[in-house]
Amino acid sequence: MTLAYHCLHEGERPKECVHCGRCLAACPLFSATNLEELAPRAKFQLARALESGAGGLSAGQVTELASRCLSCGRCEKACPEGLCAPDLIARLRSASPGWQALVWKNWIGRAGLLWPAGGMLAKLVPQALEKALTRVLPAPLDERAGLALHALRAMRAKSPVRPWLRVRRFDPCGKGTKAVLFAGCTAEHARPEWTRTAERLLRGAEYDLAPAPDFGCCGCTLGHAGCKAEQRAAQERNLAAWRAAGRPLLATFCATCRCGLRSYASVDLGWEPFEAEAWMKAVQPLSSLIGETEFSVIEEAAPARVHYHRPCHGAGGGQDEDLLRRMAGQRIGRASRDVCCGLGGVLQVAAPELGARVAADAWNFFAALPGEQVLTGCSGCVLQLASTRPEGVDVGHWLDAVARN
Amino acid sequence: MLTPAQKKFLASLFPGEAASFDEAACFVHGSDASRLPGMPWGVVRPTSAEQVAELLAWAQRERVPLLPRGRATGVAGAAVAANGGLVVSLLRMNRILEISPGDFLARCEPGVITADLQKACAAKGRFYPPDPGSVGISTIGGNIATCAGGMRAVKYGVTRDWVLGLTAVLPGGAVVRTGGRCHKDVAGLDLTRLLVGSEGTLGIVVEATLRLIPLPEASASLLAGFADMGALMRAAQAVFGGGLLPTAMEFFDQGTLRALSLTAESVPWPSGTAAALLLRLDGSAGAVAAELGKLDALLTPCAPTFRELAPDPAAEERLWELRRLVSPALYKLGPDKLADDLAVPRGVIAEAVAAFTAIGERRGVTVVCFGHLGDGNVHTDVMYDAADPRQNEAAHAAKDEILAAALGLGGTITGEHGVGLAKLPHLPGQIGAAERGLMRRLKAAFDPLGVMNPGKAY
Repeated sequence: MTLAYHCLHEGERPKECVHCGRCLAACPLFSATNLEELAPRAKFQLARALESGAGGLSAGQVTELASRCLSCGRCEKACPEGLCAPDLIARLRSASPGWQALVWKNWIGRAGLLWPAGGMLAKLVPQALEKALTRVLPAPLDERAGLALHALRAMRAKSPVRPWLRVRRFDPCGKGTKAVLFAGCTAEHARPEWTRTAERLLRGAEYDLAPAPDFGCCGCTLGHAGCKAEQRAAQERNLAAWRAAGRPLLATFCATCRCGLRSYASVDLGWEPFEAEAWMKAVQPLSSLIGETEFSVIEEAAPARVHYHRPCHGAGGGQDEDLLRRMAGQRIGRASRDVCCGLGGVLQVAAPELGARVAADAWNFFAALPGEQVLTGCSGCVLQLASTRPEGVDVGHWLDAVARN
Repeated sequence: MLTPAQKKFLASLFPGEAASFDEAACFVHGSDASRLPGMPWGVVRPTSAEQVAELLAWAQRERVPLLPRGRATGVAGAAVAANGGLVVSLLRMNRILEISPGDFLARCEPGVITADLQKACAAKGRFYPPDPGSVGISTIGGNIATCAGGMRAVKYGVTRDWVLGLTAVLPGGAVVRTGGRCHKDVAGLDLTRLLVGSEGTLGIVVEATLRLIPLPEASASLLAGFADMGALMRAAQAVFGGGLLPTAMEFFDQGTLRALSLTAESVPWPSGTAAALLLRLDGSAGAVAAELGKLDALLTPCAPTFRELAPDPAAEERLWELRRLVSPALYKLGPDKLADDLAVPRGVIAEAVAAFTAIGERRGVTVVCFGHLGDGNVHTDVMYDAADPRQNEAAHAAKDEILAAALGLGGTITGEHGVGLAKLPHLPGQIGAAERGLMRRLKAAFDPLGVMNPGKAY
């Protein structure tokens, strides 16, 4: 028997889409629209056609379709070749001249859709922002920037979820372990109370909680948006801060941040021997760190039913769901497994109406009634679900439900 | 190409995003899992039978070729727009219309995913058995168009055995209803069976009435490895010889096992395993438990390298996920594939597999055999690198030889994928001029102007 093709795993020829169609079943955007051109298979076909010149497609057309991706990563898990559409899209975006300017143009143009991560992005990619602003906006710069700030402030309104859980007894499982909190952009800019509650839980569980080091954005959204250099800078900054803090346990309460942080281990960031493994071990979801801490329900504030939304990113372990089940008991309604909120990073900028259709699928799943809540463990999901929720249904992070005691 | 007037008509019949004419959208609707290229002129997405009827009246009038399309998971190229035409995506006709436990039938539209239908039937205690490898990702319409088979065929047969009736729209817009709700019905010619497997060349199916049976209470599976194909074949004969009729009897040859071990997170077989047999039993819980014990006892004297019994659904799922992974995993052995789903009379399978493997060795390309051992349907794939001219030539020569060898053994060039585009050149080797002429006259009776998926299947 000849070894007809034995070099594949040595990377001599990159993996290719085999058109099997498994990704169609996994893609929330395709499920919500039944438009084959939005499925991951189509994106790989188009990228290949652009490369080879087949089909006579223009780069513009491909980039246009490239922006229509939720970057949820579900296709990667379904693909027998391990292909990841968000990675492909990020590369296309990164290579496309003017993409960043386009992002910012739309971002400012649709200021109402800004989410707090945008504030962080604006800080991290100031040149692109400025360039875009000066090119597309004739009005005075600061006035337009003011518009964006206004939208940001609106996002800073208080969470609609009234606390309905109280810690009855802490599990002192921390045993004095040194820990720091990675709060993430949303908590930093819009939901500081999440950070305070998380700190209280960690201290209660007897972790030696150090002041937060000089962390920035996890880089996840930047990467998906094709801002590769900025993503790299964010990664280096966070790694340096973690090292400076003495490589402590790194607690997160946002699934996307956790996913973004864990991905560092597969990037060459100048890791010392075994340091990447230590990093993976250090990055832990808050929900898994508080052991058997017991909660009691504040009856007068509790919703009739509470549903759990599982984020696409980094929630494979299901720790948040387990904790919420334990905390809420009989009140738990539906728990999503494979529905996406539809936030989709820059899709929110490029085609927000598509995100809304995906969100509609999610809301069909929950079938939530007025007075009920949907809680989740991802900042992005909170904001997307909050902006698409049916009347009378409150959306929040599970930390919103925990009272100060 | 479509004229501006034609586009205008289509845009009014299919408003908004229900019609697409831009190049990128067309391009991605031009190919399927055969990876053959095609560039259609447009895509329309009907949501009702009335829209389909209006479309087919127009298409015949305008002589615009139509390419019905589901999830495009077919590997024979039946959905490829090799010569342009208008793609009719049926994904938005995806309603389950009825599941009648009393009449033992389900009615649904063509865009329903087969596994979704099975799940809905199971919730009512009913079972729709056909399970092609793509069951979780392909549509009932696509399954009907290709008469999809699958792993349960050894006990339950293929798609055509489960279709009681169809509603189809013919070119010109006529709506025909074939068969019905009766499980036995011999009135007139069997148009239902003619439409099943016709690869979209006769009309567009807009509704199917499917036969159901009681949902088996339990199932169990068993994976056993062997040192060579000879030992595996003796084991298979021992199973039937012992009086068991498994729901499924699949086999993997050495190349298939290698591809799986390169793809799956983990595989259960030890080194020294060069062939594996995957079996499933179903029925009442007591019967399945007893038969699993008997199966294990029948296999033990056949010198297996290992046996893994899967008595519960979770354990079974782990084994069957491996089977579903085979087709895509084979690309680990080569970036290009010439896929064949030959079937041979069941008594000559061992001879056939040995012949196909020998052809690969002689030609210097990788030939892998796997699949439905129980019903004689042997998937035989040539894996090669098309960028290498020597391999390209050798692979195609091997494929031709394999097809000829199968026909020489009294086999067929396709057991379940269909002829599509990929197998069309080989069809005359199997089916004579008189029979092909009859097929063309039958097509003309349905589609006199040849607008339905022209140039495919026969």
